[in-house]
Amino acid sequence: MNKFSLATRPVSRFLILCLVFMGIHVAAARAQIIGTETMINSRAVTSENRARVQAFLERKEVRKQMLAMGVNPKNVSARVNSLTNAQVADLAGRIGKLPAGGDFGGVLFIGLVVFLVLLYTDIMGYTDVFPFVKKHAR
Amino acid sequence: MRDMVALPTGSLRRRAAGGLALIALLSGCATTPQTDSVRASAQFGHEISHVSGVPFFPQKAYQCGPASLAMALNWAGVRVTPDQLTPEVYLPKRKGSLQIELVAAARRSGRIAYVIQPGLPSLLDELGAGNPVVILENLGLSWYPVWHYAVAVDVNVAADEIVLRSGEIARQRMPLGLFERTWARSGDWGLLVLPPDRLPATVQKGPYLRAVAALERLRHFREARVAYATALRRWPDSLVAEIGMGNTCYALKDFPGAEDAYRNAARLHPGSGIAYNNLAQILADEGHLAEAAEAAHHAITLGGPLVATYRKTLAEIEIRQGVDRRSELPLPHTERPATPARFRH
Repeated sequence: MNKFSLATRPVSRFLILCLVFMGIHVAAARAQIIGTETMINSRAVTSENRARVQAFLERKEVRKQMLAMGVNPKNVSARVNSLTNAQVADLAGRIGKLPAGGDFGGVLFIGLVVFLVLLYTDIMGYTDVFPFVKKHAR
Repeated sequence: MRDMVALPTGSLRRRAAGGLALIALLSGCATTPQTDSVRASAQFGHEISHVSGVPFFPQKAYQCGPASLAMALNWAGVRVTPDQLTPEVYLPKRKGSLQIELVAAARRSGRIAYVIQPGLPSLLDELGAGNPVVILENLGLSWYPVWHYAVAVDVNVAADEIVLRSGEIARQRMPLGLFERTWARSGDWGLLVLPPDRLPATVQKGPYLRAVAALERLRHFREARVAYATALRRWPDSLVAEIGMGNTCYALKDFPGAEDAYRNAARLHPGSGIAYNNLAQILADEGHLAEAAEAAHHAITLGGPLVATYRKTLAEIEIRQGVDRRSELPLPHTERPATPARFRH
């Protein structure tokens, strides 16, 4: 057993070295094409690295907020990754405040005053909350 | 989903009447300048439009976002149901979907998601061109918002109505003035979901190209390439479209196509370091190392915020040049009259 490990040690060292050099070689051959999104944003960006760090942090923040909003964890990555950096910056810290189109689940939950106000404004043609209020084309 | 509720009676009505002045104040402005101006100029615009090919998906509770997006995507040739989109856009705790996520989800399906300029004229132009528009309304008031997505399909200015695929109604007919008020509370937000070979009728170059570039992040390179080609037909001298064309060709391993696009970009925009940098990279990949180094040098000379990347490009090209020179030397069958002498001292 000991003999075997003695014999294999130089081999494994050699393999590690190979892997390290391969890694360097792969890194060196990576394309330096500048992406279209980077190009579009480059006018507003003073430091590429700073922008990258900021985008990374904002993405993390948006991911956290989405989880807090009840999004299924297995969908969160795809949803965050498909956002552009500009969209991520828009969303970060505002997921709870931005308009979330969803209609609403039954007018019974509305307070009476709100109901009356909306009923009046519906009749006057300012709003369209209640389907039973007939809207007349003028 | 909206439920029917009995109308209040008696004293409640009297109390409501007492608060009318306050209510009028709270409900904000009553004027509809856009509708008035559209009516006045109807003979010049699209006074009657009908968008065909938009299916109807009745929404489930709170699911107007997925439903509206599914209608728009199906019109644009993507077979998808609202239920499939719900996990992609819906925020359970908000009981709704955000505009940004509808945009992102449309792009995930490989379609161009383009937010139109605010205003009734843009909306009418798009409907006139046969493009359905996903719109966000606030059906309530600014201080009691009821956010709702729907898809605008038809308009008839003379009859004062716009037709929406909305909630559980396939053809909700709404007076234009009322629509203008509910729409204005979302800042006139309207979203187009288009196949990549179709430009919006009211297209603007910058926003359109940003919408296309977003497809690259999602690896929809084929669709993005078609869209860049469409953009280049409209704006033949657009640097972003040309670079985008090169980048999508490069991602699709169409190296001649990429080289063409980068050369065009460098020729039309000799001040663009990005054009020269990307040209250098493709030339290096094709094995034209001397020319590649020249282009990379030129990019560095031009400078700019991305100059660090240009330097990296050059460094890599120089490494490859070094490797090539070394690998040429020991080959036994090549003619090498000068090499032995050069290596002796």
